[in-house]
Amino acid sequence: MSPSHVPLEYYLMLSGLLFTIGAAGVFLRRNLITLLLSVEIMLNAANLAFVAFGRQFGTVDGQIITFFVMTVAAAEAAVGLALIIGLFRHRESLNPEAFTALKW
Amino acid sequence: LASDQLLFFAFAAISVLGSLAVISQKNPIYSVLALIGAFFGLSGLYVLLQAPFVAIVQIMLALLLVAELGWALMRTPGISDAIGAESAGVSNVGELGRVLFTDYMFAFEVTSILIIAAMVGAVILARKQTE
Repeated sequence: MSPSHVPLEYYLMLSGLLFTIGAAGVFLRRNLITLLLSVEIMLNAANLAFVAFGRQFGTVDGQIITFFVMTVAAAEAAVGLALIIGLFRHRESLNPEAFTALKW
Repeated sequence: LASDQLLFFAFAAISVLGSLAVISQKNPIYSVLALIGAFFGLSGLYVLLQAPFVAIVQIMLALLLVAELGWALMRTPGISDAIGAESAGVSNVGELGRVLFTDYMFAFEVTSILIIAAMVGAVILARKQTE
């Protein structure tokens, strides 16, 4: 049915692996910019699963959802980076441990 | 038969190694460069999945990331331009556009509001505070 010979399971496993790497980055790293990039990796892992499922079911809906995810990711990166710049001006640090104003 | 799987594993290795490099580098600039490498691997996978348009948009995103993080400047997310860009058109780009502008019209319009809001928010958040 589909001309490609790579089975869907491979793509799903790769997607899961990439998502795990991104989640590990969010939890392990102590740098705001790297945190943002790790979120980006997780979003791309989800995109890969969407496109793989779309190919499997023979529709373009998976690709369209991917466009929306990419758009939201770009908006998130722009606002997130602006926030990071503001925080850096405020504290001269990119370490999330340095921002303790909401902690008591 | 085998070449498809070979390409899959090559692109998968690029994206996984790139992602691992993103979270293991000390310097965030190197992380950004590694992420761009991972994006190129992913766009190769999209070509394998017969989604060449998504692959092109993915590469544009990678270049956008260079512009955004490389200079640490706020650039307007140019995704709506990317969606309107020309592509090789070897597969179902026409169908993609038809579905995007009919079934997903509302979501598409909401996306433009999101981009405006993000653009204004980024500019306001990142400008220098004037006392």
